[in-house]
Amino acid sequence: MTASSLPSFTFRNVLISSALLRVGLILYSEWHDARSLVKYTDVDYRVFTDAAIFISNPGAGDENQAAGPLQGFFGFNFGFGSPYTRETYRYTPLLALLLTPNAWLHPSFGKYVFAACDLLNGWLIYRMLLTEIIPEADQSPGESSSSGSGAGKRRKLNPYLEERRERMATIYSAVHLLNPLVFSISTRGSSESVLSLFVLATLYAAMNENWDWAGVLLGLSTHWKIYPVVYGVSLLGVITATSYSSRERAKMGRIATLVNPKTIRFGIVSASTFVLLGALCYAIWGYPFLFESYLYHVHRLDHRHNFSPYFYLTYLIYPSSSPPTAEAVPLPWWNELIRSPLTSFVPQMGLALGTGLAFGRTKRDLVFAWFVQTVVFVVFNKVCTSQYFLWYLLLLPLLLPELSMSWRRAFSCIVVWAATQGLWLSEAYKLEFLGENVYFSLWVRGLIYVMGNCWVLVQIMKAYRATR
Amino acid sequence: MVSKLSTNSTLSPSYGSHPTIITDVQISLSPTNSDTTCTLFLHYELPPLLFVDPYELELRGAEYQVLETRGRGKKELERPVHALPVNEGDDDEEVEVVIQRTLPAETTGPARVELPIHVRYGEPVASSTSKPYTVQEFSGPTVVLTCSDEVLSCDRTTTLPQFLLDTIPTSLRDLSLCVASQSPEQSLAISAPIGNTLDLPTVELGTTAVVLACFAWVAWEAWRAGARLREGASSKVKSN
Repeated sequence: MTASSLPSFTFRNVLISSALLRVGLILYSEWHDARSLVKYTDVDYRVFTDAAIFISNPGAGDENQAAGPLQGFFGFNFGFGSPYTRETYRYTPLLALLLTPNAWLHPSFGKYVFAACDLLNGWLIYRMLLTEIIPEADQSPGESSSSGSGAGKRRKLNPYLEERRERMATIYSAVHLLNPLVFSISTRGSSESVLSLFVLATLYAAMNENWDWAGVLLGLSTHWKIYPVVYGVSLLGVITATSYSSRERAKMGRIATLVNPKTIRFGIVSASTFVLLGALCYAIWGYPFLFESYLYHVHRLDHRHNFSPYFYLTYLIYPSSSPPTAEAVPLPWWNELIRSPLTSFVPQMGLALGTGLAFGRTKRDLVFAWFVQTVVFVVFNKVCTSQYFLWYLLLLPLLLPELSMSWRRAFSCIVVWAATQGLWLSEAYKLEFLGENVYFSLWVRGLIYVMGNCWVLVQIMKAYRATR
Repeated sequence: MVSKLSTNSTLSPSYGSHPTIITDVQISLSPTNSDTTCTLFLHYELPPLLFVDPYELELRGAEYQVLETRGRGKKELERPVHALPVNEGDDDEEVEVVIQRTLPAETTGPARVELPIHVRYGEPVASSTSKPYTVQEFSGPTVVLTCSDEVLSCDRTTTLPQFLLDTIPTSLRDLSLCVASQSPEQSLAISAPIGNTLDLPTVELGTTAVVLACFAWVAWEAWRAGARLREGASSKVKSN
């Protein structure tokens, strides 16, 4: 075999390899699950599939019926069942609707959809890297491109530079496409790649300054899962930066950079999309949709062990369903404050929104703003499982070209990020599978997880567009 | 010939959150009709600390079918034991599960049935030992054997739980039954760790302190990063 016959490292080849890898894993999952009691497929996929079956097979009478006031349209009966007949289905009904072919076409249909979303995400990452991010990063760290349409700005480059940018874009997008966490999660049947697609599409529209589309996609993302709403804050400053000249912006106060006709239009488009989708789902599926998709998450108490140190506190103060045997002693005010949901909500949302406002000023900084916002949202959340890491890992390939840190520091960040998880997982194994009482030490490791991830985030903030 | 039915159940492992009740059923009978099929029914009564995931049991459809489940906590898979709803309809304290398994004709010998169960978080207690546990004892399943077109003559002294009787299909209920259950001395037991309420002050203060300290730290570094980026942007504007 000669050097010229070796497959070249192009994005097309990375995409094909990623597709083949995912198809192979999905086929393997079918083989494995048919022969083993320990399934490759995630429990959540069974939940989605059951919900899809329920939604497409309404029962007789009141059993498994969509509970909303709108059951038909001009004489045409929708004939929907309720996905919420399936216990623990706490997602938008649109997800169950998307997966209805699981019931009548093939049980693995959903996995192929999730894998396809993975590939689309990889393509979006590649395009954004090639057309926006790497060209920006090739400028000096302190510079930012002037406002204007993103699509037609590229000058004719010398072939060497163009080849270098394509190679870098391919490498960084391969970080996502060939990330074991990414392809294992989608082929096991987790739906995170669908939300990732909406988030990346929102970012892509923003980078191309298609603000109406960005608003629609942000509304869709937020309908799917609430957390993307924080991205709206960072988009406001960027909309102003790209829609008004520097002279006009110089006359604006800080409030006006956030609230002006352009940002108001964006807010209306985004909010309208969210409300319309919610109204449609409520009209068909009624209160169960509202409760399971949104309200449940407001009041949920996650007492079982997870990365967040809040789990042990929640467990120890979990309200009992039995009447108290003795009169409750009123707590001092500082104790009430500590136990108040505000103590967790204020740091989380304060940082998520504050960093959005602080960093969402230019289009070039948008990826960085979203990355920081997502990390703080996940780290300071009252519950955290491994799937949440995908929310910010998705943005990491887009951020890498703008990070300037030594290999030693980068290695330290990876080690700290992985080691804090490993430290926690090794203790959680003792609790879950060996039945050892390690609640306290697991809580301590949850604190270490928070501190370690904050340290990594601080290193990334220091390395972002740092002077080389 | 007197038919014989005996059962022995173990818990594997007797610790951790996801043990399995393994029931070995010894059957000794000689059906006279080669078309005869026999059916095993197993009735489990689980205390509130334990629960089954009905969707998980559906995946064992090749081994057995779950006929019925009931009990408080049948649906509340995600709550600790002390937060299970009380007085919910006619559900009793315990979770009852009845499964059915069809056996081939001329059945003699052992049959093994495995029921995966899960352990809830128990109610925290104040414990000076700092690492408290709770030990939950419960009985193995009551096993019932019926055979179509067959009159079983077997020792039957165990009284059947009403829920089990009501769940057995009518056509089989009228046949003669063999019943076996584990003796009380052979009850199963699982040890589960529980939280210590004496940890609460430390956990409250520690969580709050670390979260607020990290919040302040990240906010400070974010401010510095923002200032650096703004300084870089204004330098570019000036140079232009």
